[in-house]
Amino acid sequence: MEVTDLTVAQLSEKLVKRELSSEEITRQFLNRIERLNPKLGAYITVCPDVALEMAKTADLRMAKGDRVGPLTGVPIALKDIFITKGVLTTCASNILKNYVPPFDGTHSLRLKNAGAVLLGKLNMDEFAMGSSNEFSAFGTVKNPWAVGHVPGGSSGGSACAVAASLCIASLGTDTGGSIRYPASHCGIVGMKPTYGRVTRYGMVAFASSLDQAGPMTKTVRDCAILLNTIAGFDPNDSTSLNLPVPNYTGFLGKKVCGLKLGLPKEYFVEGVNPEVSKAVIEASKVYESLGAKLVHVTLPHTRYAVPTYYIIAPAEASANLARYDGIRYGHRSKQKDLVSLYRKSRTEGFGPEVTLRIILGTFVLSSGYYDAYYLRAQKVRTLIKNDFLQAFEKCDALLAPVAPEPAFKLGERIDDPIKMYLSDIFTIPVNLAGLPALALPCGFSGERRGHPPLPIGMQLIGRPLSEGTLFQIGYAYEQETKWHLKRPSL
Amino acid sequence: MKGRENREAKVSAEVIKKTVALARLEFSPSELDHYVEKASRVLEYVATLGELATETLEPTSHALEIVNAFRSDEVRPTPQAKAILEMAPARDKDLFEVPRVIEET
Repeated sequence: MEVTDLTVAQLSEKLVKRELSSEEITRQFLNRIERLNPKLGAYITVCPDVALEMAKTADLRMAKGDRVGPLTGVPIALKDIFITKGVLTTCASNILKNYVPPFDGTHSLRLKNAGAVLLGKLNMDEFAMGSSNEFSAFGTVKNPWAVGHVPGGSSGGSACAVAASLCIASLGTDTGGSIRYPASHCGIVGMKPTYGRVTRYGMVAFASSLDQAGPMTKTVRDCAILLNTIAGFDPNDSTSLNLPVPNYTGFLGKKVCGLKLGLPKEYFVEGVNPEVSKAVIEASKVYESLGAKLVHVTLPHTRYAVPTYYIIAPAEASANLARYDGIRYGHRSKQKDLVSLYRKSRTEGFGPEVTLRIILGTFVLSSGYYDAYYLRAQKVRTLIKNDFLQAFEKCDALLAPVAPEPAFKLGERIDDPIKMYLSDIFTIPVNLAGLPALALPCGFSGERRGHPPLPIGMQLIGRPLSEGTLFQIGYAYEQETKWHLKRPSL
Repeated sequence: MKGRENREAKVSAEVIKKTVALARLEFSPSELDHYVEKASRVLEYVATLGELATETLEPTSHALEIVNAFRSDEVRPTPQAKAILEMAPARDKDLFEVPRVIEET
Protein backbone atom coordinates (compact mmCIF):
# COMPACT_ATOMS: atom_id res chain seq x y z
CA MET A 1 0.00 0.00 0.00
CA GLU A 2 1.29 3.47 -0.86
CA VAL A 3 1.41 5.97 2.00
CA THR A 4 -0.92 8.16 -0.07
CA ASP A 5 -3.54 5.37 0.23
CA LEU A 6 -3.60 5.65 4.01
CA THR A 7 -6.71 6.83 5.80
CA VAL A 8 -6.80 9.78 8.22
CA ALA A 9 -6.84 7.40 11.17
CA GLN A 10 -3.91 5.31 9.86
CA LEU A 11 -1.80 8.33 8.94
CA SER A 12 -2.46 10.08 12.21
CA GLU A 13 -1.15 7.04 14.09
CA LYS A 14 2.03 6.96 11.99
CA LEU A 15 2.59 10.70 12.44
CA VAL A 16 2.18 10.55 16.20
CA LYS A 17 4.60 7.59 16.39
CA ARG A 18 7.01 9.58 14.18
CA GLU A 19 7.10 6.75 11.62
CA LEU A 20 6.36 9.37 8.99
CA SER A 21 6.60 13.14 8.95
CA SER A 22 3.90 15.43 7.65
CA GLU A 23 6.47 17.06 5.36
CA GLU A 24 7.39 13.69 3.81
CA ILE A 25 3.82 12.68 3.10
CA THR A 26 2.87 16.17 1.90
CA ARG A 27 5.70 15.99 -0.66
CA GLN A 28 4.47 12.58 -1.77
CA PHE A 29 1.00 13.99 -2.35
CA LEU A 30 2.37 16.99 -4.23
CA ASN A 31 4.35 14.66 -6.50
CA ARG A 32 1.32 12.46 -7.08
CA ILE A 33 -0.85 15.50 -7.88
CA GLU A 34 1.74 16.73 -10.38
CA ARG A 35 1.71 13.32 -12.07
CA LEU A 36 -2.04 12.62 -12.12
CA ASN A 37 -3.88 15.94 -12.03
CA PRO A 38 -3.33 16.70 -15.76
CA LYS A 39 -5.22 13.47 -16.54
CA LEU A 40 -7.96 13.78 -13.89
CA GLY A 41 -8.48 17.56 -13.51
CA ALA A 42 -9.31 17.27 -9.80
CA TYR A 43 -7.45 20.40 -8.64
CA ILE A 44 -7.96 24.01 -9.71
CA THR A 45 -5.23 25.34 -7.41
CA VAL A 46 -2.36 23.50 -5.78
CA CYS A 47 -0.57 25.47 -3.05
CA PRO A 48 2.73 23.67 -2.41
CA ASP A 49 4.39 26.52 -0.42
CA VAL A 50 1.39 26.86 1.89
CA ALA A 51 1.13 23.08 2.25
CA LEU A 52 4.79 22.54 3.11
CA GLU A 53 4.80 25.40 5.61
CA MET A 54 1.75 23.91 7.33
CA ALA A 55 3.33 20.45 7.26
CA LYS A 56 6.55 21.70 8.83
CA THR A 57 4.58 23.51 11.53
CA ALA A 58 2.70 20.29 12.29
CA ASP A 59 5.98 18.33 12.47
CA LEU A 60 7.45 20.88 14.89
CA ARG A 61 4.43 20.66 17.14
CA MET A 62 4.65 16.87 17.24
CA ALA A 63 8.41 16.96 17.84
CA LYS A 64 7.86 19.30 20.83
CA GLY A 65 5.33 16.88 22.24
CA ASP A 66 2.45 19.37 21.95
CA ARG A 67 -1.03 17.96 22.31
CA VAL A 68 -2.18 17.12 18.80
CA GLY A 69 -5.40 15.85 17.26
CA PRO A 70 -6.31 13.29 14.60
CA LEU A 71 -5.96 15.83 11.77
CA THR A 72 -2.59 17.32 12.77
CA GLY A 73 -0.22 17.04 9.84
CA VAL A 74 -2.83 15.32 7.63
CA PRO A 75 -2.90 16.55 4.01
CA ILE A 76 -6.41 17.48 2.90
CA ALA A 77 -7.92 19.54 0.10
CA LEU A 78 -11.06 21.66 -0.07
CA LYS A 79 -13.73 22.11 -2.71
CA ASP A 80 -13.06 25.50 -4.29
CA ILE A 81 -16.27 26.86 -2.77
CA PHE A 82 -14.65 27.21 0.66
CA ILE A 83 -13.13 30.56 1.55
CA THR A 84 -9.40 30.18 2.24
CA LYS A 85 -7.38 33.24 3.22
CA GLY A 86 -4.64 34.04 0.73
CA VAL A 87 -5.51 31.06 -1.51
CA LEU A 88 -7.42 31.59 -4.77
CA THR A 89 -11.09 30.71 -4.40
CA THR A 90 -12.90 30.58 -7.73
CA CYS A 91 -16.06 28.43 -7.29
CA ALA A 92 -14.94 27.17 -10.72
CA SER A 93 -16.27 30.40 -12.23
CA ASN A 94 -14.67 33.01 -14.48
CA ILE A 95 -16.42 35.68 -12.44
CA LEU A 96 -14.17 34.80 -9.48
CA LYS A 97 -11.11 33.68 -11.40
CA ASN A 98 -8.95 36.27 -9.64
CA TYR A 99 -10.59 36.25 -6.20
CA VAL A 100 -8.16 35.71 -3.32
CA PRO A 101 -10.11 35.90 -0.05
CA PRO A 102 -8.81 38.22 2.67
CA PHE A 103 -10.24 36.00 5.39
CA ASP A 104 -10.71 32.35 6.32
CA GLY A 105 -14.17 30.84 6.49
CA THR A 106 -15.03 28.82 9.57
CA HIS A 107 -14.37 25.44 7.86
CA SER A 108 -10.91 26.51 6.74
CA LEU A 109 -10.20 27.97 10.19
CA ARG A 110 -11.37 24.91 12.13
CA LEU A 111 -9.25 22.63 9.93
CA LYS A 112 -6.23 24.96 10.32
CA ASN A 113 -6.66 24.99 14.08
CA ALA A 114 -6.79 21.19 13.99
CA GLY A 115 -3.41 21.22 12.22
CA ALA A 116 -4.58 19.86 8.87
CA VAL A 117 -2.37 20.63 5.85
CA LEU A 118 -4.06 22.30 2.87
CA LEU A 119 -2.81 20.84 -0.42
CA GLY A 120 -5.05 22.95 -2.63
CA LYS A 121 -8.55 23.74 -3.91
CA LEU A 122 -10.60 21.23 -5.78
CA ASN A 123 -12.57 21.47 -8.99
CA MET A 124 -16.35 21.56 -8.96
CA ASP A 125 -19.35 22.47 -11.04
CA GLU A 126 -19.55 26.27 -11.20
CA PHE A 127 -21.11 27.67 -8.02
CA ALA A 128 -22.04 24.07 -7.10
CA MET A 129 -24.65 23.91 -9.86
CA GLY A 130 -24.30 20.59 -11.61
CA SER A 131 -24.22 16.82 -11.19
CA SER A 132 -21.29 15.84 -13.39
CA ASN A 133 -18.45 18.36 -12.87
CA GLU A 134 -18.72 19.22 -16.57
CA PHE A 135 -19.80 22.81 -15.82
CA SER A 136 -16.50 24.16 -14.55
CA ALA A 137 -14.69 27.10 -16.13
CA PHE A 138 -11.46 25.25 -15.28
CA GLY A 139 -11.92 21.99 -17.13
CA THR A 140 -13.85 18.76 -16.64
CA VAL A 141 -13.02 16.32 -13.88
CA LYS A 142 -12.70 12.65 -14.84
CA ASN A 143 -13.84 9.63 -12.91
CA PRO A 144 -10.63 7.93 -11.67
CA TRP A 145 -12.24 4.48 -12.15
CA ALA A 146 -13.05 5.18 -15.81
CA VAL A 147 -11.74 8.45 -17.26
CA GLY A 148 -14.37 8.52 -20.02
CA HIS A 149 -17.06 8.86 -17.33
CA VAL A 150 -18.13 11.66 -15.04
CA PRO A 151 -17.10 11.65 -11.38
CA GLY A 152 -20.46 13.11 -10.42
CA GLY A 153 -20.95 16.64 -9.15
CA SER A 154 -20.89 19.20 -8.00
CA SER A 155 -18.10 18.08 -5.62
CA GLY A 156 -16.51 16.06 -8.43
CA GLY A 157 -12.98 17.25 -7.79
CA SER A 158 -13.26 16.32 -4.10
CA ALA A 159 -14.58 12.84 -4.85
CA CYS A 160 -11.98 12.22 -7.55
CA ALA A 161 -9.13 13.46 -5.35
CA VAL A 162 -10.05 11.23 -2.41
CA ALA A 163 -10.65 8.16 -4.61
CA ALA A 164 -7.40 8.71 -6.54
CA SER A 165 -5.40 9.40 -3.35
CA LEU A 166 -4.59 12.96 -4.39
CA CYS A 167 -5.45 13.97 -0.81
CA ILE A 168 -6.31 11.96 2.29
CA ALA A 169 -9.73 13.55 2.76
CA SER A 170 -11.75 16.50 1.57
CA LEU A 171 -14.74 18.67 2.30
CA GLY A 172 -17.54 19.04 -0.21
CA THR A 173 -20.93 20.73 -0.20
CA ASP A 174 -24.36 19.17 -0.72
CA THR A 175 -27.34 21.27 -1.81
CA GLY A 176 -29.17 18.64 -3.90
CA GLY A 177 -26.78 15.68 -3.59
CA SER A 178 -23.42 17.20 -4.45
CA ILE A 179 -21.47 15.26 -1.81
CA ARG A 180 -23.34 11.97 -1.96
CA TYR A 181 -23.70 11.68 -5.73
CA PRO A 182 -19.99 12.06 -6.59
CA ALA A 183 -19.06 9.98 -3.53
CA SER A 184 -21.23 7.19 -4.93
CA HIS A 185 -19.78 7.48 -8.44
CA CYS A 186 -16.19 7.48 -7.14
CA GLY A 187 -16.60 4.73 -4.54
CA ILE A 188 -15.93 6.79 -1.41
CA VAL A 189 -17.79 7.90 1.73
CA GLY A 190 -19.57 11.25 1.91
CA MET A 191 -21.88 12.79 4.44
CA LYS A 192 -24.44 15.54 4.10
CA PRO A 193 -25.16 16.61 7.70
CA THR A 194 -28.46 17.89 9.08
CA TYR A 195 -29.16 21.41 7.85
CA GLY A 196 -27.51 23.75 10.34
CA ARG A 197 -25.19 21.12 11.87
CA VAL A 198 -22.22 22.61 10.01
CA THR A 199 -21.89 26.36 9.50
CA ARG A 200 -22.36 27.93 6.10
CA TYR A 201 -20.09 30.87 6.93
CA GLY A 202 -17.07 30.49 4.68
CA MET A 203 -18.91 28.50 2.03
CA VAL A 204 -19.92 30.55 -1.02
CA ALA A 205 -23.71 30.56 -1.04
CA PHE A 206 -25.75 28.74 -3.68
CA ALA A 207 -29.15 27.99 -2.06
CA SER A 208 -29.26 29.15 1.52
CA SER A 209 -32.05 26.90 2.80
CA LEU A 210 -30.40 23.78 1.31
CA ASP A 211 -26.58 24.19 1.39
CA GLN A 212 -24.54 22.06 3.79
CA ALA A 213 -20.81 21.31 3.99
CA GLY A 214 -19.67 17.79 4.76
CA PRO A 215 -16.71 15.39 4.74
CA MET A 216 -15.67 13.20 1.80
CA THR A 217 -13.34 10.42 2.85
CA LYS A 218 -12.15 6.87 2.20
CA THR A 219 -13.78 5.42 5.32
CA VAL A 220 -16.66 5.99 7.72
CA ARG A 221 -14.20 6.55 10.60
CA ASP A 222 -12.43 9.31 8.68
CA CYS A 223 -15.83 10.89 7.94
CA ALA A 224 -16.67 10.91 11.64
CA ILE A 225 -13.26 12.43 12.48
CA LEU A 226 -13.75 15.26 10.02
CA LEU A 227 -17.33 15.94 11.10
CA ASN A 228 -16.11 16.17 14.72
CA THR A 229 -13.85 19.01 13.57
CA ILE A 230 -16.20 21.06 11.40
CA ALA A 231 -19.58 20.59 13.13
CA GLY A 232 -20.94 22.93 15.75
CA PHE A 233 -22.43 26.33 16.37
CA ASP A 234 -20.97 29.35 14.59
CA PRO A 235 -22.22 32.80 15.60
CA ASN A 236 -21.39 34.01 12.08
CA ASP A 237 -24.20 31.82 10.62
CA SER A 238 -27.67 32.63 11.92
CA THR A 239 -28.95 29.21 10.77
CA SER A 240 -26.19 27.33 12.59
CA LEU A 241 -27.69 25.07 15.28
CA ASN A 242 -26.66 26.00 18.80
CA LEU A 243 -26.68 22.42 20.05
CA PRO A 244 -23.90 20.18 21.44
CA VAL A 245 -21.82 18.09 19.04
CA PRO A 246 -21.41 14.48 20.18
CA ASN A 247 -18.16 12.62 19.61
CA TYR A 248 -19.07 10.91 16.35
CA THR A 249 -16.25 8.35 16.51
CA GLY A 250 -17.85 7.09 19.73
CA PHE A 251 -20.72 5.62 17.66
CA LEU A 252 -18.40 3.39 15.62
CA GLY A 253 -18.51 -0.25 16.64
CA LYS A 254 -21.95 -0.07 18.26
CA LYS A 255 -24.13 -2.98 17.24
CA VAL A 256 -26.99 -2.59 14.76
CA CYS A 257 -28.96 -5.59 16.10
CA GLY A 258 -32.56 -4.54 16.62
CA LEU A 259 -32.32 -1.33 14.56
CA LYS A 260 -35.01 -0.90 11.91
CA LEU A 261 -33.95 0.03 8.38
CA GLY A 262 -36.62 1.33 6.04
CA LEU A 263 -36.49 0.59 2.31
CA PRO A 264 -38.52 3.28 0.50
CA LYS A 265 -40.36 1.63 -2.38
CA GLU A 266 -40.10 4.69 -4.63
CA TYR A 267 -36.31 4.29 -4.69
CA PHE A 268 -36.42 0.76 -6.12
CA VAL A 269 -38.72 1.28 -9.10
CA GLU A 270 -38.35 0.21 -12.70
CA GLY A 271 -35.97 2.64 -14.29
CA VAL A 272 -33.33 2.19 -11.59
CA ASN A 273 -30.38 0.28 -13.02
CA PRO A 274 -30.82 -3.39 -11.95
CA GLU A 275 -27.18 -3.63 -10.82
CA VAL A 276 -27.75 -0.65 -8.48
CA SER A 277 -30.94 -2.13 -7.00
CA LYS A 278 -29.24 -5.49 -6.60
CA ALA A 279 -26.22 -3.99 -4.80
CA VAL A 280 -28.39 -2.06 -2.32
CA ILE A 281 -30.67 -5.06 -1.68
CA GLU A 282 -27.55 -7.18 -1.06
CA ALA A 283 -26.44 -4.53 1.43
CA SER A 284 -29.81 -4.79 3.19
CA LYS A 285 -29.20 -8.54 3.58
CA VAL A 286 -25.86 -7.81 5.24
CA TYR A 287 -27.78 -5.70 7.75
CA GLU A 288 -30.29 -8.52 8.28
CA SER A 289 -27.42 -10.90 8.98
CA LEU A 290 -26.24 -8.43 11.65
CA GLY A 291 -29.66 -8.50 13.31
CA ALA A 292 -31.19 -5.34 11.87
CA LYS A 293 -34.83 -5.48 10.80
CA LEU A 294 -35.93 -4.39 7.33
CA VAL A 295 -39.17 -2.45 6.99
CA HIS A 296 -40.90 -1.39 3.78
CA VAL A 297 -41.87 2.28 3.79
CA THR A 298 -43.21 4.73 1.27
CA LEU A 299 -42.25 8.31 0.40
CA PRO A 300 -45.19 9.02 -1.90
CA HIS A 301 -44.15 12.49 -3.10
CA THR A 302 -40.66 11.45 -4.23
CA ARG A 303 -41.37 12.15 -7.90
CA TYR A 304 -42.18 15.78 -7.14
CA ALA A 305 -38.85 16.42 -5.41
CA VAL A 306 -36.82 17.26 -8.53
CA PRO A 307 -39.33 19.82 -9.90
CA THR A 308 -39.67 21.31 -6.41
CA TYR A 309 -35.92 21.64 -6.10
CA TYR A 310 -35.52 23.17 -9.55
CA ILE A 311 -37.81 25.98 -8.51
CA ILE A 312 -36.49 26.60 -4.99
CA ALA A 313 -32.74 26.18 -5.60
CA PRO A 314 -32.52 28.46 -8.67
CA ALA A 315 -34.72 31.02 -6.87
CA GLU A 316 -32.33 31.14 -3.93
CA ALA A 317 -29.32 31.05 -6.27
CA SER A 318 -30.59 34.02 -8.27
CA ALA A 319 -30.69 36.02 -5.04
CA ASN A 320 -27.29 34.82 -3.81
CA LEU A 321 -25.55 35.44 -7.12
CA ALA A 322 -26.89 39.00 -7.43
CA ARG A 323 -23.80 40.10 -5.47
CA TYR A 324 -21.53 39.28 -8.44
CA ASP A 325 -21.87 42.64 -10.13
CA GLY A 326 -18.26 43.53 -10.99
CA ILE A 327 -18.15 46.38 -8.47
CA ARG A 328 -16.12 45.28 -5.46
CA TYR A 329 -14.27 42.13 -6.60
CA GLY A 330 -14.19 39.54 -9.35
CA HIS A 331 -14.52 40.07 -13.07
CA ARG A 332 -15.50 43.55 -14.28
CA SER A 333 -16.25 44.41 -17.88
CA LYS A 334 -15.17 47.98 -18.76
CA GLN A 335 -18.34 49.82 -19.65
CA LYS A 336 -19.41 53.47 -19.84
CA ASP A 337 -22.62 53.13 -17.80
CA LEU A 338 -23.46 51.19 -14.67
CA VAL A 339 -26.25 48.97 -16.01
CA SER A 340 -24.06 47.87 -18.94
CA LEU A 341 -21.27 47.15 -16.46
CA TYR A 342 -23.59 44.88 -14.47
CA ARG A 343 -24.96 43.11 -17.55
CA LYS A 344 -21.67 42.56 -19.35
CA SER A 345 -19.69 41.59 -16.23
CA ARG A 346 -22.27 39.00 -15.26
CA THR A 347 -22.87 37.64 -18.76
CA GLU A 348 -19.14 37.36 -19.44
CA GLY A 349 -18.41 35.88 -16.01
CA PHE A 350 -21.10 33.22 -15.56
CA GLY A 351 -21.13 29.87 -17.38
CA PRO A 352 -24.16 28.37 -19.17
CA GLU A 353 -25.68 26.29 -16.35
CA VAL A 354 -25.37 29.08 -13.78
CA THR A 355 -26.88 31.50 -16.31
CA LEU A 356 -29.82 29.18 -16.93
CA ARG A 357 -30.50 28.80 -13.22
CA ILE A 358 -30.32 32.54 -12.60
CA ILE A 359 -32.91 33.03 -15.36
CA LEU A 360 -35.16 30.31 -13.90
CA GLY A 361 -34.79 31.63 -10.37
CA THR A 362 -35.47 35.23 -11.33
CA PHE A 363 -38.57 34.13 -13.25
CA VAL A 364 -40.13 32.04 -10.46
CA LEU A 365 -39.70 34.88 -7.98
CA SER A 366 -41.04 37.58 -10.28
CA SER A 367 -44.38 39.31 -9.87
CA GLY A 368 -47.24 37.31 -11.34
CA TYR A 369 -45.35 34.00 -11.20
CA TYR A 370 -44.27 33.83 -7.55
CA ASP A 371 -47.45 32.09 -6.30
CA ALA A 372 -47.72 29.58 -9.14
CA TYR A 373 -44.10 28.52 -8.92
CA TYR A 374 -42.12 29.46 -5.81
CA LEU A 375 -44.92 29.46 -3.22
CA ARG A 376 -46.34 26.23 -4.65
CA ALA A 377 -42.88 24.60 -4.51
CA GLN A 378 -42.51 25.58 -0.86
CA LYS A 379 -45.85 23.90 -0.13
CA VAL A 380 -44.79 20.72 -1.92
CA ARG A 381 -41.61 20.87 0.16
CA THR A 382 -43.90 20.48 3.20
CA LEU A 383 -45.34 17.28 1.69
CA ILE A 384 -41.87 15.87 1.00
CA LYS A 385 -40.68 16.67 4.51
CA ASN A 386 -43.81 15.07 6.01
CA ASP A 387 -43.23 11.89 3.96
CA PHE A 388 -39.93 11.42 5.82
CA LEU A 389 -41.43 12.22 9.24
CA GLN A 390 -44.04 9.54 8.68
CA ALA A 391 -41.46 7.00 7.46
CA PHE A 392 -39.35 7.59 10.57
CA GLU A 393 -42.28 6.52 12.74
CA LYS A 394 -41.60 3.01 11.43
CA CYS A 395 -37.79 2.89 11.23
CA ASP A 396 -34.55 4.30 12.62
CA ALA A 397 -33.01 5.11 9.25
CA LEU A 398 -33.67 4.62 5.57
CA LEU A 399 -31.48 2.61 3.19
CA ALA A 400 -31.58 3.57 -0.48
CA PRO A 401 -29.48 3.95 -3.61
CA VAL A 402 -27.71 7.29 -4.11
CA ALA A 403 -28.07 7.35 -7.89
CA PRO A 404 -30.38 5.55 -10.31
CA GLU A 405 -27.41 4.30 -12.32
CA PRO A 406 -23.59 4.25 -12.19
CA ALA A 407 -21.55 7.15 -13.61
CA PHE A 408 -22.62 8.12 -17.13
CA LYS A 409 -20.23 9.04 -19.93
CA LEU A 410 -18.74 12.51 -20.33
CA GLY A 411 -20.89 14.65 -22.59
CA GLU A 412 -23.88 12.30 -22.43
CA ARG A 413 -26.29 14.68 -20.64
CA ILE A 414 -24.69 18.07 -20.98
CA ASP A 415 -27.24 19.33 -23.53
CA ASP A 416 -30.31 17.90 -21.78
CA PRO A 417 -30.98 19.74 -18.53
CA ILE A 418 -33.95 17.56 -17.49
CA LYS A 419 -32.03 14.33 -17.94
CA MET A 420 -29.12 15.84 -15.99
CA TYR A 421 -31.43 17.05 -13.20
CA LEU A 422 -33.04 13.61 -12.86
CA SER A 423 -29.63 12.20 -11.83
CA ASP A 424 -30.35 13.66 -8.39
CA ILE A 425 -33.77 12.07 -7.99
CA PHE A 426 -32.75 10.14 -4.85
CA THR A 427 -30.57 12.78 -3.24
CA ILE A 428 -32.69 15.94 -3.58
CA PRO A 429 -35.55 14.89 -1.23
CA VAL A 430 -33.07 14.68 1.66
CA ASN A 431 -31.96 18.30 1.15
CA LEU A 432 -35.53 19.54 0.90
CA ALA A 433 -36.26 17.85 4.23
CA GLY A 434 -33.02 19.10 5.86
CA LEU A 435 -32.03 15.58 6.92
CA PRO A 436 -28.59 13.98 7.33
CA ALA A 437 -27.48 11.26 4.93
CA LEU A 438 -24.35 9.14 4.64
CA ALA A 439 -23.25 7.71 1.28
CA LEU A 440 -20.90 4.74 1.19
CA PRO A 441 -19.76 2.24 -1.43
CA CYS A 442 -21.72 -1.02 -1.75
CA GLY A 443 -20.54 -2.60 -4.98
CA PHE A 444 -19.48 -2.22 -8.58
CA SER A 445 -21.27 -2.50 -11.89
CA GLY A 446 -20.13 -5.33 -14.15
CA GLU A 447 -17.31 -4.83 -16.59
CA ARG A 448 -18.51 -3.91 -20.04
CA ARG A 449 -16.95 -3.29 -23.43
CA GLY A 450 -15.94 0.32 -23.31
CA HIS A 451 -15.55 0.74 -19.58
CA PRO A 452 -14.28 -1.01 -16.48
CA PRO A 453 -16.50 -1.68 -13.45
CA LEU A 454 -17.99 1.48 -11.95
CA PRO A 455 -18.69 2.09 -8.25
CA ILE A 456 -22.20 1.83 -6.83
CA GLY A 457 -23.13 3.71 -3.66
CA MET A 458 -25.90 3.46 -1.09
CA GLN A 459 -27.12 6.09 1.31
CA LEU A 460 -28.39 5.93 4.87
CA ILE A 461 -30.86 8.72 5.63
CA GLY A 462 -31.64 9.63 9.22
CA ARG A 463 -33.75 11.82 11.45
CA PRO A 464 -32.45 15.34 12.15
CA LEU A 465 -29.19 15.28 14.13
CA SER A 466 -28.81 11.49 13.85
CA GLU A 467 -25.35 11.63 12.25
CA GLY A 468 -23.99 9.41 15.02
CA THR A 469 -26.55 6.69 14.30
CA LEU A 470 -25.77 6.90 10.59
CA PHE A 471 -22.06 6.44 11.32
CA GLN A 472 -22.92 3.49 13.57
CA ILE A 473 -24.98 1.82 10.84
CA GLY A 474 -22.54 2.69 8.03
CA TYR A 475 -19.50 1.46 9.97
CA ALA A 476 -21.18 -1.87 10.72
CA TYR A 477 -21.66 -2.52 6.99
CA GLU A 478 -18.18 -1.30 6.12
CA GLN A 479 -16.56 -3.71 8.56
CA GLU A 480 -18.40 -6.64 6.94
CA THR A 481 -17.37 -5.72 3.38
CA LYS A 482 -14.27 -4.72 1.43
CA TRP A 483 -15.57 -2.08 -1.01
CA HIS A 484 -13.83 0.73 0.89
CA LEU A 485 -10.45 -0.98 0.41
CA LYS A 486 -10.57 -0.91 -3.38
CA ARG A 487 -8.56 1.74 -5.24
CA PRO A 488 -8.57 2.65 -8.93
CA SER A 489 -5.41 1.71 -10.80
CA LEU A 490 -3.79 4.90 -12.04
CA MET B 1 -54.53 23.00 -29.46
CA LYS B 2 -51.36 23.57 -31.47
CA GLY B 3 -52.19 27.28 -31.87
CA ARG B 4 -52.72 27.61 -28.14
CA GLU B 5 -49.41 25.88 -27.46
CA ASN B 6 -47.63 28.27 -29.83
CA ARG B 7 -49.23 31.28 -28.10
CA GLU B 8 -48.19 29.95 -24.70
CA ALA B 9 -44.66 29.32 -25.95
CA LYS B 10 -44.50 32.87 -27.40
CA VAL B 11 -45.74 34.45 -24.19
CA SER B 12 -43.23 32.45 -22.23
CA ALA B 13 -40.40 33.60 -24.54
CA GLU B 14 -41.35 37.27 -24.06
CA VAL B 15 -41.47 36.86 -20.33
CA ILE B 16 -38.14 35.07 -20.25
CA LYS B 17 -36.57 37.87 -22.26
CA LYS B 18 -37.82 40.39 -19.68
CA THR B 19 -36.49 38.11 -16.94
CA VAL B 20 -33.04 38.14 -18.54
CA ALA B 21 -33.03 41.94 -18.31
CA LEU B 22 -34.18 41.80 -14.66
CA ALA B 23 -31.34 39.40 -13.88
CA ARG B 24 -28.86 41.90 -15.33
CA LEU B 25 -27.76 39.62 -18.15
CA GLU B 26 -27.44 40.35 -21.86
CA PHE B 27 -27.28 38.05 -24.90
CA SER B 28 -27.08 38.06 -28.66
CA PRO B 29 -30.36 37.01 -30.38
CA SER B 30 -29.14 33.43 -30.95
CA GLU B 31 -27.90 33.10 -27.35
CA LEU B 32 -31.22 34.42 -26.12
CA ASP B 33 -33.11 31.86 -28.21
CA HIS B 34 -30.91 29.14 -26.71
CA TYR B 35 -31.75 30.18 -23.15
CA VAL B 36 -35.44 30.68 -23.98
CA GLU B 37 -35.58 27.12 -25.30
CA LYS B 38 -33.77 25.63 -22.30
CA ALA B 39 -35.68 27.65 -19.72
CA SER B 40 -39.02 26.84 -21.37
CA ARG B 41 -38.24 23.12 -21.19
CA VAL B 42 -37.40 23.29 -17.51
CA LEU B 43 -40.44 25.43 -16.68
CA GLU B 44 -42.68 22.99 -18.52
CA TYR B 45 -41.18 20.15 -16.48
CA VAL B 46 -41.51 21.86 -13.09
CA ALA B 47 -45.14 22.76 -13.85
CA THR B 48 -45.95 19.11 -12.89
CA LEU B 49 -46.31 20.47 -9.36
CA GLY B 50 -49.67 21.77 -10.60
CA GLU B 51 -50.96 18.18 -10.27
CA LEU B 52 -50.98 18.51 -6.49
CA ALA B 53 -53.61 20.21 -4.34
CA THR B 54 -51.60 22.69 -2.29
CA GLU B 55 -54.17 25.34 -1.29
CA THR B 56 -54.40 24.33 2.36
CA LEU B 57 -50.72 23.53 2.89
CA GLU B 58 -48.29 25.71 4.80
CA PRO B 59 -45.15 26.54 2.84
CA THR B 60 -41.77 25.34 4.15
CA SER B 61 -38.99 27.88 3.70
CA HIS B 62 -36.57 26.05 5.99
CA ALA B 63 -36.86 22.33 6.76
CA LEU B 64 -35.83 22.81 10.38
CA GLU B 65 -37.35 25.59 12.41
CA ILE B 66 -35.09 28.60 12.55
CA VAL B 67 -35.38 31.56 14.89
CA ASN B 68 -34.05 35.07 14.61
CA ALA B 69 -30.46 35.09 15.82
CA PHE B 70 -29.29 38.23 17.60
CA ARG B 71 -25.98 39.38 18.96
CA SER B 72 -25.16 42.31 21.18
CA ASP B 73 -24.80 45.60 19.33
CA GLU B 74 -21.04 46.01 19.66
CA VAL B 75 -18.78 47.67 17.13
CA ARG B 76 -16.17 45.25 15.85
CA PRO B 77 -13.16 46.24 13.75
CA THR B 78 -12.85 45.13 10.12
CA PRO B 79 -9.15 44.24 9.84
CA GLN B 80 -9.51 43.19 6.23
CA ALA B 81 -10.58 46.63 4.93
CA LYS B 82 -7.24 47.30 3.17
CA ALA B 83 -7.17 43.80 1.62
CA ILE B 84 -10.78 44.19 0.45
CA LEU B 85 -10.01 47.48 -1.30
CA GLU B 86 -6.96 45.97 -2.97
CA MET B 87 -9.27 43.56 -4.77
CA ALA B 88 -11.35 46.36 -6.26
CA PRO B 89 -11.46 46.28 -10.07
CA ALA B 90 -11.19 50.08 -9.93
CA ARG B 91 -10.65 52.30 -6.92
CA ASP B 92 -10.10 55.89 -5.92
CA LYS B 93 -8.31 55.90 -2.56
CA ASP B 94 -10.75 54.18 -0.18
CA LEU B 95 -13.65 54.16 -2.62
CA PHE B 96 -14.75 51.63 -5.22
CA GLU B 97 -14.83 53.49 -8.53
CA VAL B 98 -17.79 52.97 -10.87
CA PRO B 99 -19.13 54.66 -14.04
CA ARG B 100 -21.03 57.89 -13.48
CA VAL B 101 -24.57 57.26 -12.20
CA ILE B 102 -25.84 60.83 -11.93
CA GLU B 103 -26.30 62.92 -15.07
CA GLU B 104 -24.59 66.30 -15.24
CA THR B 105 -27.00 69.24 -15.45
